Amino acid sequence: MSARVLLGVTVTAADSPADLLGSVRRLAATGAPADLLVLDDSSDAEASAEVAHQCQVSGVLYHRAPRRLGRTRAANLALRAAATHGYDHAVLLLGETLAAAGVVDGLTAAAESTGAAVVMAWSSTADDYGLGIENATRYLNHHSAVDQVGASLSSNFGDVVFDVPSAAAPCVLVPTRAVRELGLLDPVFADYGSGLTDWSLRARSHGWRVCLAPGTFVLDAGSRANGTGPDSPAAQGTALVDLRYPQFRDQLVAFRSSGLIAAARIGASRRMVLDGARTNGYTLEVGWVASALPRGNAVRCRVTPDAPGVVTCELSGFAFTFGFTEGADPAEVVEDFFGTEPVSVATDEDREVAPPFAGRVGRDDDRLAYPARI
Amino acid sequence: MADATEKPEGDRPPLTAERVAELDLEQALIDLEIANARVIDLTSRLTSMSAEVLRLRAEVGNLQLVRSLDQSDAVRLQEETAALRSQLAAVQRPLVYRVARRLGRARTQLVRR
Repeated sequence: MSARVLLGVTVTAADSPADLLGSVRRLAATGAPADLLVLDDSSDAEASAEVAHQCQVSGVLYHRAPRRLGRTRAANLALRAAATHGYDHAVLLLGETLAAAGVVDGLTAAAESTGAAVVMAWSSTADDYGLGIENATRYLNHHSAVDQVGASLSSNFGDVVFDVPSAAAPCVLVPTRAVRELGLLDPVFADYGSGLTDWSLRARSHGWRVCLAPGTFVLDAGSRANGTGPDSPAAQGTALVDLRYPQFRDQLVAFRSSGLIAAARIGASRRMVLDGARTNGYTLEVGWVASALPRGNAVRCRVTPDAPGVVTCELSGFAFTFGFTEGADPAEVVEDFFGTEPVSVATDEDREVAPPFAGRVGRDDDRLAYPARI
Repeated sequence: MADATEKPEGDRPPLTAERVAELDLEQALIDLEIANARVIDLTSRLTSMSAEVLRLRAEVGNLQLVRSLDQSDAVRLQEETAALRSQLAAVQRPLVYRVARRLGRARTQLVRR
């Protein structure tokens, strides 16, 4: 019998109702094996009314508390609802997050194979556990792009699971049996991230595992409205976590030094550019000045004279770099890597390129006939 | 905290908006109860720690006073020592004293032979 999952989406005033509704409708329409619960913690009554109406139309369960709960207590409500109504797992999703297709399946499989207390989806954030995608919302601003990333990560990592020191992500799965044993998030944490970190450390102190599923992907499109100053909820939450778990920071340093996430990021970028090139091809640019012309969804590969033995391939904020020996032809090296010829080759000055590509080299329209470099 | 027991699937009520509102209220009351208990506990600990801080401040003040007294005693002893040394030097400087000391040493050597 498949696991019953309750997907709790927490909406705040910072979320765009249009984005949220689109995301909720998509989650409801894709047949994800989960019941949806939208917890509206926004103080904007007009926006809330719109969200409530759309949830009713979509058949999605909706709740707005008479007073603002804060994300931590809203997450507790989702966990409590799941634990007391026969659900096997609860997925906590922040409203400003775009989840790739198959996230719930991936997290459920990871939780049931590891018995972990919490499993994180791999997010686009630049923190200790995230993918670190630069300008992620600029490149991945549509569900199709997010799904493409999710599919690439799933094919690359499969059901691999990493053990991590703590949980801090915009999308996590929590088995309800963990909730029944460990309880809820501590509402003393006004900052949800700190509250989740504290709960995961509580889980570890009871012998549970805390895991990251790199084969799942969510785009974190939210802003940090809580601020980062010394008196911010995040800073206060961090101080309280350090007070309760004095060894946590050392564990985090040790985890960083292991290089696990860094290596995984490289693997993810490599997979992304390979899949992108297979689908939309790639362009090769040789020279100092990057091309400003749009290239659609093709992978962009650059070789600069400053780094003559290095090829940098970029797609949707992912960047994969590989080297080649001095004297080798960059065009041949790139063709060997991708297994296909480039869609186009461009240079900013007259350069010798391999004969097979000579006929396709041309000046881009936006380049002028003077040296590109000062 | 979540319920400790799990009801059989047939006895579990379906999750509805009304049920979520009930859970919200129940959890709010639980959170309030825990928050009150924490305030009482923290107030007690704050009171104890404040008393401890006052006691430690008094102890630090006393130690600083003893240290300052010891330092002034040390300075006074240094000055007395310097005065005595200058007096000794003044006694040892005159010719009569030096001649008397040499005669004393010579006598000692003759006695030893």
